[in-house]
Amino acid sequence: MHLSEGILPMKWAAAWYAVAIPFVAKGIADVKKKAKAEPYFKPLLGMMAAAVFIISCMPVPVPTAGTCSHPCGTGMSAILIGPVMSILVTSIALFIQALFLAHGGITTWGADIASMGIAGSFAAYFTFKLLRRFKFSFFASGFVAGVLADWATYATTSFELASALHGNKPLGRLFITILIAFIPTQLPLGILEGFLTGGMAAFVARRRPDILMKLKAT
Amino acid sequence: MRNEIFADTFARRENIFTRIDARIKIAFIAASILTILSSKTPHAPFVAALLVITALSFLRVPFKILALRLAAPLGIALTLFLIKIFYCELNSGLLITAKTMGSTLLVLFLSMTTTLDRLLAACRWFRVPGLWIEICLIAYRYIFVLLEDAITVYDAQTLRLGYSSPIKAFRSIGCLAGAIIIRAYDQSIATYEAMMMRGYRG
Repeated sequence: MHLSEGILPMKWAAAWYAVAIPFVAKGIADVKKKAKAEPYFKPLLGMMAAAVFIISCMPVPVPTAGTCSHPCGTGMSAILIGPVMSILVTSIALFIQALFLAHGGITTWGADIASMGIAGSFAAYFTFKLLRRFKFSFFASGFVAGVLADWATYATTSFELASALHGNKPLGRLFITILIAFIPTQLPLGILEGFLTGGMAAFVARRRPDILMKLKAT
Repeated sequence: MRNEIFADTFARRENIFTRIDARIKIAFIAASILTILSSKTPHAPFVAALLVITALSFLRVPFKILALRLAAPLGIALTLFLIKIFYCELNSGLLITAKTMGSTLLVLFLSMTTTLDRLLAACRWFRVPGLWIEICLIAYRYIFVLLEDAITVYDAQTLRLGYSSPIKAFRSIGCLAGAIIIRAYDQSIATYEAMMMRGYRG
């Protein structure tokens, strides 16, 4: 989910930066440790950022809510490389998108990382791990993880918009209004994201199970 | 056209704006965006938007490219404006529209006059972590490679009627995502080996 440049007032933009930066810093610290043992990991993260960029750069405008909609791709990256590194990858994909596609923004970068990176990645990762523990198939686990990652992202974005723009009106009312405004695109897009993530997990498990083993994504 | 939308083609041209140091441009754009965000009236953001459009016209950036890049934020800004008019909040609507357009155009101006490598070198000067910049450069380099692969797979799926019904489309899109991930993984190993042969030590 991408909030357009300039939509958030300055104090809210700064507040979401404060939320996002510690997660990105933790991701950087983790990569430094991991890259010592597995030096190919940095190029792998670069490739994953490129993949997230490609998947999440198909915007569908949702004018009533003031944002764009699209598959996130973060559920997929969280399953493969873990939630914290997925946040790092998302921060890079969002930065390039904001610069070259006017998709998202530099001032809304923190808020976009919070919704797409933090909420989306953690929702997908824990859902996938939980369902795999109960022996669900790769497709079913990936499907539910993808759907929940997408919906968690959009719920967070709705909260970000509502908290910044509610003014004198009640926060809860605007939050619900924005959530409802997202429904026409988010319900189908969440399901699309589910097929994307579940299909990816099943395809990789069938064709190249060594990748899932290597990344401990089983 | 696809590469012109994604790539920093315009930033590689030789002109007065591309010759300015990236650090100066970043500082100027950041200060301008902060001014726009703290503005209480739409005048300053609209003036900034007009100035950027004039500068980009001077740089002969095709209107079609600019329109494509601005389509999503422009559509959103105009609709928010109409919603605000509906709620009799004309000034507030104008302000949000102006802020969105002004700040979006400023960022586009930066990306159309500065190549990503220069931009990231300047970011390093502003103490952005080197590891983040390194991964960002790898990602930017391979976006185009993976995009070509994704288009090739998509075209092959389409020719085999992979998107001829919703169920087939859902199945095909999962396979497409899986193929991109496998390609990304294999490419990361190949890239690492190639970099190591050239003296890269992580």
